Amino acid sequence: MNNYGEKLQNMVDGFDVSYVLMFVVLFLIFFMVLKVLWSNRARFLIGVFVVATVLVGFTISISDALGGEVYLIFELLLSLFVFIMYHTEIKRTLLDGTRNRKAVGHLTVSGIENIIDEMVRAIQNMSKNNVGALIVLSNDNLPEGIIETGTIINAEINAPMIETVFFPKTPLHDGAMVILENKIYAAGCFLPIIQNENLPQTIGSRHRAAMGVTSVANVTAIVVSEETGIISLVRGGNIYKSYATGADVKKALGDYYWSDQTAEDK
Amino acid sequence: MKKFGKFLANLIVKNVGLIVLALVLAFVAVVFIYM
Repeated sequence: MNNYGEKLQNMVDGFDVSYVLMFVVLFLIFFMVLKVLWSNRARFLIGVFVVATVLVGFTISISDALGGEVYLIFELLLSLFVFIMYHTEIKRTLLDGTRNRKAVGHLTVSGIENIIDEMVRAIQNMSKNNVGALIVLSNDNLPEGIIETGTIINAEINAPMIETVFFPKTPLHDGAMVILENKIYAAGCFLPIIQNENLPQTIGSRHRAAMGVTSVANVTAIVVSEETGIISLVRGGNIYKSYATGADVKKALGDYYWSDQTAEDK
Repeated sequence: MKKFGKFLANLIVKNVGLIVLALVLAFVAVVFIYM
């Protein structure tokens, strides 16, 4: 332990600007790691990360055989491990951060309420008639490749229009409809299908596409099953509401329209 | 510049706990590295 006190004293004596720079760099790396873990509700891994950082550091510091460089490499590898583990979520956040909302029209409170009512009516009608549908509520943050696979419509949102697009045997019914603020921006878009072997066979390609797109972009998807007419809500790569009612759809649309951009207009 | 300041202030306010934890961990790590 005498040796330990001596080491500590040497460190204080040898203080220079590199200590500060190293502190700043490590702070930024640790903050990003903790932020990624916290955002993905990996509280347990935060505990593991903190304990590993302290325990391994202490072990190396009392060892004469290993130096601080080994500890630095360990920390960098540990951080890299977290970044690789959550690369999909990081990509989604980065894409979301670079979004550039297009001003597609001025949204008024009554206009938004009308759009929500029209969409709920269309979704309920399609559910009643077993018409399959996949609607993505975009924040202009979908990868350009997805939009390019479909057809740009840029039409007003109303129930007959939505139902017409998804009417069986029409050219655009098979893909996804992308909603951007107060417009039907595109339809017939093909989405990335989620690759997850653990998903039950009962989950069809429309639901898998919804899970795929919500795992790569921070968007909400509404799915109407062609077989059962059941409405599902998908976000973050998960079906968070399997049997959604009209009220649930209205709430999801409310969350979309009354979020950051519309707050400015209120 | 004003927009960046607003973004930074928002980031700090929303993540006070994580920032404190990252500061403590970075300090501990620097001590272990230079010891």
